[in-house]
Amino acid sequence: MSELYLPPFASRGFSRRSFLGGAAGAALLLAGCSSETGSGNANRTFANDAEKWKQYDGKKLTFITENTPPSSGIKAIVDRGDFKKLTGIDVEILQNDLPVMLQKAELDLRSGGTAYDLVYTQDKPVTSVIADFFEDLRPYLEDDSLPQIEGGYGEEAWYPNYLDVASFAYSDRLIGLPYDAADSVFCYRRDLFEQYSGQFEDEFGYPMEYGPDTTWKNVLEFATFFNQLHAKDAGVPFGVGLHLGQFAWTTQLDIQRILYSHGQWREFDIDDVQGSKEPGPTRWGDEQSVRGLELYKALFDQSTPDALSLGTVEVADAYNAGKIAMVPQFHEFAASFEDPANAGGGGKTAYDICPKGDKEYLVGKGDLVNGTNCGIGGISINAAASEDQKRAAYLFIIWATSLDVQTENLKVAGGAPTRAAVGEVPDIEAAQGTPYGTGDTGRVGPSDYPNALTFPAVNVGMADPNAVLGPKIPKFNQYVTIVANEIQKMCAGDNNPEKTAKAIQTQVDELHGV
Amino acid sequence: MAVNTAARGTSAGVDPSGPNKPTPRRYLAPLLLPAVILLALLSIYPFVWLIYMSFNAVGLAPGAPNEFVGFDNWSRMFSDSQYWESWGILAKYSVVSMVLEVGLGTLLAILLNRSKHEKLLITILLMPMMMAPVVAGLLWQYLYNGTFGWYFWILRSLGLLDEGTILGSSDIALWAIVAVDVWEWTPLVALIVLSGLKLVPQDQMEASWMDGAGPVRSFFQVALPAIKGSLMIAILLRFMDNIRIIDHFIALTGGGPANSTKILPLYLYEQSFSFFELGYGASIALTLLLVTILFGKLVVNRFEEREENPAKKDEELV
Repeated sequence: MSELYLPPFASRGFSRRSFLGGAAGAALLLAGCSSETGSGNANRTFANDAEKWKQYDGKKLTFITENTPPSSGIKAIVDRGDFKKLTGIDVEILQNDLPVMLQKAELDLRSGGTAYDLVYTQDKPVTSVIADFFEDLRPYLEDDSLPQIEGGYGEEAWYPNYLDVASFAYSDRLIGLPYDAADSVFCYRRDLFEQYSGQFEDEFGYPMEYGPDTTWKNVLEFATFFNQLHAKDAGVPFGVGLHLGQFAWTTQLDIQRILYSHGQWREFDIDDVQGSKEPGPTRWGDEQSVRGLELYKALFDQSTPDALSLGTVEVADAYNAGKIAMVPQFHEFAASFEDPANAGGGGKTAYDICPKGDKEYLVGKGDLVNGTNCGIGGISINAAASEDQKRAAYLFIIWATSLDVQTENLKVAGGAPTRAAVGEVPDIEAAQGTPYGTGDTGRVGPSDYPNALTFPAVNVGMADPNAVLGPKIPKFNQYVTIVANEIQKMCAGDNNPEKTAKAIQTQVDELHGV
Repeated sequence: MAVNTAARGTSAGVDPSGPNKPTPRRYLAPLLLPAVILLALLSIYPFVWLIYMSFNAVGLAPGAPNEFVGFDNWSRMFSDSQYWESWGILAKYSVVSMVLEVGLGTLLAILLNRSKHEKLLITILLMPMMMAPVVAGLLWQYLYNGTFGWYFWILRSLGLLDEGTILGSSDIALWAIVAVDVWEWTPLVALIVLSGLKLVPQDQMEASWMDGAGPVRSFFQVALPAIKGSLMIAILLRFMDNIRIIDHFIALTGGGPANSTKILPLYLYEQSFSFFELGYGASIALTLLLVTILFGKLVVNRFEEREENPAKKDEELV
């Protein structure tokens, strides 16, 4: 993580405080004691942390978020009264599909409304678009009248890159904390790889094994092999799944990880942590982007015949139904892949780092890396809310992103923790299997914490040089819509890769007035 | 006409000084004013504001000024290839849906008319119509699904579909959505036409049969002229609905694959509420509104022409 964008006090670190355990215990002991509400708490002195947590007893917060397992898990924990017991604050959690959530939040925030005190801020589709309407959290981190972040605000407490992705956009204002994560990993049917490895080797000259040096070209050959088998026996799955369906952002992520694998190619010449309101000309249209699209088209040709209708959720359904042998997927889906009721599930899937770039598809001399991208969900405060609401909302943020709640969320709903320490909780650490790089790399279940099977791959994938954070630009949703539409046209046979890259370039540059 | 004049209290049978005496003209304006103001608030003000927005880059934040951009939104719209493509897709969708719904609806109405279990069958047929369009869209998304969809499986089993899927094909997706619309709204057309069929003069039908006309000829020569009014209402309603539809498209394809189902209302929605280009969205909305009004007026004129021209009506009946 670049220190350039950390607030000056971040490097100091904050003392690790007794957080949920101690605070909750103290809160219980103090239950029934008088509580303080109203404005002016910023200047008050509290006897202990328990009082700080209770200072907004009786308030109500509204949190608008996505309808994914991590938020469902938080909702379940909130609904059973954990946060209310600690703070006396009621929290209403509203869940929607991400585009609907964004639409509601954007309308509210842009019009100065306060319908939502807390907003789920997916880094690119949400934060990039409405970053200016969120409260700067830096003063809260220095406020002695508020409980502080467990483990402090520093990169050591969180997974690599998460803090950068969730905290900033366009300035050094700290506008959110990492709340959940969807990181790409490569999921494949270990049972089929073992079954057909010899047959594959006879044809392609090397065994069908997956590891950190497996390239996208290898994946293409694996997929070709599976499709050949499928042509003879419909019981064998198709090769590889892609994310081409309705949701434009996941299509952009699908091509982004392939392009980044080859010379760490990025869409704009900007810093991905901060993003830019004026990103300038796009790199789409250059030779590397054309080669990347050629590879993507080749993968599409070895995908399922219905690939154009499969978005992220649908491709997971297809994998679960045993229709696909391999898929790059977000790690939060491991819980469903491990469901023994599914044809493709129940200990058959191995989870590994995304494939590496292949020199055949590299233009020039760049590095070949295991391009891994993500959607890091932050949690942010509506700047238009009243001072008391914002301070109460801050309490919820540090509670919801705490180690104990994230660990509990993983147990309750298969959440996707953002704190590295969750992976060090003994039973979760055990569920991950052997550390990455010590033998077989792909983790195979079954496991009581299915998502933990992906953590070894996530740890390596989301670290440098593999992680690509993606561009934060105000017109991000228009940008991904252009990319997805043109790639769909290419896959449908309406355009070749070169024309597709140029069409994207033309439209994106026009979008940004270049 | 006698009924109408009587209602106005001017027939010879009504005492001008009695309780039904006409309202003096000077009261008309004050009496109508509340309704006019309400109407203005509900529809004219937003319409004028829509026109204003189409000439501005609209700022959403409170107090943020709208920037006057002249005809920028309009010129951008007319040079936007997606705008024209979306019109084309909408035209295909609306015309095909309407033709199928009116054709099948009329056929259904004829079959149901005076059938043994007419009421029961009507109740069953109306069930799809009771479903919210977005729910219907989600339901059909499951039925079309290439992994576990029932209709997908049936079509594949019958050899009507290769390994590609219904919603994943740019060639098929639009027609798949047409099928959903036809499934949901054909019963409405059937119901409207059925009400028209109830008014067909039985003596004329019987006379037609006595003259040796078969069922088809009797339908075209006797029943069709009588139900033309009902058909026009059905056409008007279905056209107005289809040109504004968005629910099925959002639930089923979101405009894909490769923009093959991005009809104009969806494009308008995307520009206005996904990208918050409200000024540009307003100019698109105005053109959509204009076409809807023009077509609606065309149908209504045709309808009024028939009502006011009995001679022509009689000609049609002969």
